Amino acid sequence: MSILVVCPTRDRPEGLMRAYRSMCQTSQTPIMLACIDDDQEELYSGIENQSRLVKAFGRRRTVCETVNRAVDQMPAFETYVMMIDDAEYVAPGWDRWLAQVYRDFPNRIGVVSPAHDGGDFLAYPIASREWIDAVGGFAAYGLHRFTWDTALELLGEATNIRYATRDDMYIRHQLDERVGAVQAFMEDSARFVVWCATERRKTIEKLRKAMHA
Amino acid sequence: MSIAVLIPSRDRPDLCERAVHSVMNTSKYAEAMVYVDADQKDRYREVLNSLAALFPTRVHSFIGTRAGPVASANELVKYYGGYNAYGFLSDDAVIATPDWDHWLLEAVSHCPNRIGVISPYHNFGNHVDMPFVSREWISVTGWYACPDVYHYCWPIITGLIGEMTGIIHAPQGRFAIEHDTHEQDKQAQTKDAQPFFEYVSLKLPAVVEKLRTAMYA
Repeated sequence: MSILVVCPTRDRPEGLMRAYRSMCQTSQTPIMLACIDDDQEELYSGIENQSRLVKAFGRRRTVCETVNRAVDQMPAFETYVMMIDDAEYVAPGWDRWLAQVYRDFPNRIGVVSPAHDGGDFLAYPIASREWIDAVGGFAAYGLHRFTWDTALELLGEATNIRYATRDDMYIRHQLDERVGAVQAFMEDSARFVVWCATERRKTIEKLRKAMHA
Repeated sequence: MSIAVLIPSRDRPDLCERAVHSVMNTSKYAEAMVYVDADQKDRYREVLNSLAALFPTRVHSFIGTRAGPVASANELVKYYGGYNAYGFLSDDAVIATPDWDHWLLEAVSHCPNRIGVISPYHNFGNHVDMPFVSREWISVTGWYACPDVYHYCWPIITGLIGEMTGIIHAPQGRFAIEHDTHEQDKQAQTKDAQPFFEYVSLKLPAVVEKLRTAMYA
C-alpha cells in the first residue's frame, strides 16, 4: 500500500528531521511530504530531499488547507497520513499494520486512530484515497487543525473506526501548543459546533453509501 | 406509563402557557414541568395559577434560581424523578401531533434495555433538537442535558450520543414539534462552543461506552 505522510512544518527543521528519521526507522514504504511555507525556505534550506522525503513549498495556509493541497498535488497514493513536526513514530511496522487494516475496511473506507501519548482521543488523522473521494478532501469539513481530528473520530464512530494499540501504531509528541493558539482554538470550536449540527449527518450518509457501493 | 415534558421559561409567560396547552391537548400520558426563574415568579403567577386550575395533576411548576436552560432542565429531572421518559420543549414551540405520547412510549419500549434517544421531527432542519430520552438513559449518563454546556449545544451532544448508541428519528406524522422562532443568541452560542468541543473530544467517548454496555447488558 502506498502511503504519503503529510507533514506541515514551520519553525522546526530539526523537528521535521526527527519525525522523518522516526518514519524511516519504523516503516519501509511511506514517503514524507514536508509542506514548508515560502517565507521559511531559507530556514529549511539545510534539509535536502532524501530517498523518502520530498519538500514542497507554498504560501502560508492553515494546516487543513495545506494537507488538502498536498493530497491534490500527490493524488496517486492509496493512503494519506498526517504527521506533525514535533512528534515521532515509535512502533515498528506500522505501515504493514495500516495496510492490513485498510484491506479489511469495506471498500477501504474507515478511520484509523493511532495510539499516542496525548490522551484517549483521535489525533494524527489518516484517510484512504476512497475516503477522500467520498467526502471531497482529506480535511474537508471547513474546520481547522484543532477540531478536525475530533470531526474525523465522530465520522469514524458513525461508520467504521479502528483504534490502534501501542504495538500497532504509536506516536509520541514532543512539545505542546504554540503561542497564540487560544483565539484560533475558540474560533475553530464555533465552526465545529456548526459542522456537528449541519454537515455531519450528510457526510456520514455519503460515507455509508461509499462503504457499501 | 408517564412522560415528563420539561419547559424552562423566561420572559414569555404567554408562550409558556401555549406550550403547556399543546402538551395537554396532544397527549394523555405526558405532564408538563415548568421551570420559572425566581426573579420572574410574579410575572408568571397568573399563568401558572391558571394552568394549575385547568390541569391540577398534569402541570407542575418549579421556581428556582436563574441557571440557564440546561441546569433548569436537569433540576426538573432531579426533582420530578420516576417518569418513563423525559423531553424538552422550548417555550416558543408547540407539540403538533396528537397521540405522540403513545408513539414515544412504544418507541422507547423497542430500545435495547429501554435505553435510547428519540428525536422529534421539527421545522428547523434535520438536526436533533428537543430530544426525548428514557429514564434508563438518564440513569447511565447521569443527566438529561449535558451539564458541561449552557444551552444551545446540548441537543447536539444528545444527538451525537444517540447516533453512536441508539436513536429514533420520529416521522413527522407521529411526533412533531413546531418552533416559532430560531433566535440566535450569538453570545450564548459562542460561550458554548469551547466546552462543547472539549466535551465531545474528551468525555463523550466514555459516555458512549457506558451506554453501549448498559444497552446490551
